[in-house]
Amino acid sequence: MTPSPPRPSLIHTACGWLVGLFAVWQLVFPALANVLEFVPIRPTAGDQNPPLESTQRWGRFTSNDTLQSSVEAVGYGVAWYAQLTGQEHGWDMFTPGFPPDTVVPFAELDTADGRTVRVHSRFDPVEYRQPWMRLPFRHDREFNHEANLFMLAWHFDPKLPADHPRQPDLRRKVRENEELLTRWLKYQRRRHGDATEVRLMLRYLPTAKPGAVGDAGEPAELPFARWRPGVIPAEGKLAVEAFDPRAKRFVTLDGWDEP
Amino acid sequence: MIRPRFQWPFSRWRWLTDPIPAERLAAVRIATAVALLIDLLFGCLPSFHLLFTADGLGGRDAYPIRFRDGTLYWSLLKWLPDAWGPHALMGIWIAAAVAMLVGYRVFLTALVCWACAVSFWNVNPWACNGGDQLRNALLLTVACIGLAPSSPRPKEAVAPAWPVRVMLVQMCCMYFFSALYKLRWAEWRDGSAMYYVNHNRAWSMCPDLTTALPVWLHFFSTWLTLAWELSFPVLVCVRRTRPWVLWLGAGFHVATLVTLEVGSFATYSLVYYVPFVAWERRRKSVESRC
Repeated sequence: MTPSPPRPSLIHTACGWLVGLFAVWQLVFPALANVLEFVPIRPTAGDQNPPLESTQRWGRFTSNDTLQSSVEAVGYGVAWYAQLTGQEHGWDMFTPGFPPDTVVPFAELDTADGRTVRVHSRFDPVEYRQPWMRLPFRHDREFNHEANLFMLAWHFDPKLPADHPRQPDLRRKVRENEELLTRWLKYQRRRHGDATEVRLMLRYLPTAKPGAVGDAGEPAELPFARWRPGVIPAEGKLAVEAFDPRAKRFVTLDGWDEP
Repeated sequence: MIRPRFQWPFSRWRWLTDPIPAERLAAVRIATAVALLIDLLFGCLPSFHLLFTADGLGGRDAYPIRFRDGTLYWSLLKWLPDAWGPHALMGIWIAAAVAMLVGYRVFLTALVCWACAVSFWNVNPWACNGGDQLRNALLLTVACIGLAPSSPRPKEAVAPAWPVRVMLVQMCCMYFFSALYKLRWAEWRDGSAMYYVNHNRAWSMCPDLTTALPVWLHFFSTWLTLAWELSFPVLVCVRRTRPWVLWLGAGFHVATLVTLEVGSFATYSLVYYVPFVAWERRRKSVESRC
């Protein structure tokens, strides 16, 4: 006769239930997180000023307050769980629409002795002698960081007038991403000596339309953001300034309220 | 070791509760550790100083808005000094990944890897992509695999199926919702999206090759991607179509790994395909040959 297995302890049983609950939650969570992104909910304080980068639709989906608030409670809970565990969803990869231009950033620095120095990206196909094939992984994370810079303005079309309704609001993009941009501009200055002004410039390299014969067109350059280390921003203004393509000059930006 | 217990109605759901061969969970652990080590050694370390230290684009105070009130983002690096914190934590991360690879205290080492992953992700989220989201979920899954009870007879070992089921649901959500987002944009519907992706000389890792492909191939790959992503949740559940849809997916991720700057997104995605391989049969066939 085989001896019966020992009864599990109370703690062991409780842990078993906890693991079971966690398993069920992990099973439900991805579907819930993805579906709720399409349901408009109102942003919390943590979602705005500046807006949190998110694929969540903001607004209301019903005039029924109880229903709206109940769904929002679930939505906020799911979002907090995702933030806490690093399991954010929002699989909007290669959207919205892939623009027809290759956009590469580069830094332009004005030095104290009056020179202007250009520092190109390793991914710039014009300056950087591209091998036939780049190796996977090696510079991928650097590319991710750079992509977050150029994607801010990659739907800007240099061929269209600056006041065309299809042009994105570049000032808003700079203001909402001032931490990312200021950090990058300051890093460029640290790396390339004392400059009196550092600019983030974008180069647009057009792609020929599918099936089109001939040249795709000339590359275009656009200033995007600048930082002047010696200039103290006025009260309530940001240190980073945005280029206004309509006025063709840099403009100051309002700061965000202190949290 | 802990045996999971499910409340009704989940306790009656055999898809979730029936055990699976333990080799499949071991393969997930090993594949996750390999993908993580590739990411750390070939992806993170070459750009470590630039992206994760205070002298570069990182540091604990680089992006304070990430940690604003009302969010639950966190990082161990916030409590460590900039001078040595990132270096020490990266060292711990690599050591924990190696321990996870060899199967040493899997629950603990996977949790350490997850804590390090989330910590670096939050101090410089700009250096990350969708692959990091998959990695964080995978590490939590592997930690749970470390809780699975061990069998007294290793040759016929079985383990709880739920970690693999969670991976399947994550996979279905990722592909299906990715297709839904794409469908909203004209470039994906008219087929030109992959043409522009492959002609983007920054995004493409071999633009001389991808721009030389015939136009119809770009359009075909756009529509194939959309159709495959949309139908994945259904086709992977049907036994006859499952191998085709999985082979197509694995091929897609390998192709994007070598042609596009997607980096670890491709390798972490491939880990999700590992539990579909019947590793137990391979082991038995090797043993019978010996």
